[in-house]
Amino acid sequence: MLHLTGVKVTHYSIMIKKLLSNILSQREEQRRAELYRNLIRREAKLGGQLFGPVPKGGRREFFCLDKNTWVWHEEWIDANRQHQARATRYDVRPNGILKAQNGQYQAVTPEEAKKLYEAAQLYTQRVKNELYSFAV
Amino acid sequence: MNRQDNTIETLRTNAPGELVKHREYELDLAMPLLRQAVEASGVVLTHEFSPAAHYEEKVIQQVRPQTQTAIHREHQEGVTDMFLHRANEAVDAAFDGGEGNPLFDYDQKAA
Repeated sequence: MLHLTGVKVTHYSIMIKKLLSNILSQREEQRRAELYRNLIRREAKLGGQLFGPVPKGGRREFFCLDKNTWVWHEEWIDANRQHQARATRYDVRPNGILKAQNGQYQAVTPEEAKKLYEAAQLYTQRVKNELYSFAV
Repeated sequence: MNRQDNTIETLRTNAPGELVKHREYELDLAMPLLRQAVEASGVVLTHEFSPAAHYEEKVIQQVRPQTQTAIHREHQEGVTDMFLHRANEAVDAAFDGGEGNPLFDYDQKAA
């Protein structure tokens, strides 16, 4: 009986350790995920400043979501004092760029593609110089 | 770290500094892919857009008025110098012709 109790105690001890380990691991995972999102948020804010001042009451973000995706988000107050928002996602593919707005896809014009490329170059330069240049 | 294994999932369990490195790496990957896609869209990117050149132009725009101000100031100072020079010449001339003039005959006054 004593032996069995000892086995049970050891068993419970291992379970609790595993449980704690999982919780800590999950928290660490969540912390790093949050950190990563914060990096993207900071990039997006900086990216939004590349195109000049944002009108009062508006908001603009431009960022690289991943190596194949660029996002433009704009909010503004229209002439009727109504809040408007538009999110544009650019999907970079080997044969061209697709633009997604309100769930609808369309190919970008050569002019827009060129502007996107120039903006992305400036964005990359500034993000590296201003956000990550002092990172360890 | 092996860049082949440099995925977000891997990095999320590593040091925060690795997240930044990954992010920079991702941007390095994104630009050539974007360039390829832009060229596939029919755009000929003969001229490499240079953010440095963009900044250079901005700097030139900011510096230009300062330079003009500096030139203007120098010109003003030049004019001032010219006046001072003329004044000195006048004073020198006055001294030259000052013999016998009690205003310039300090030795005589001191005596």
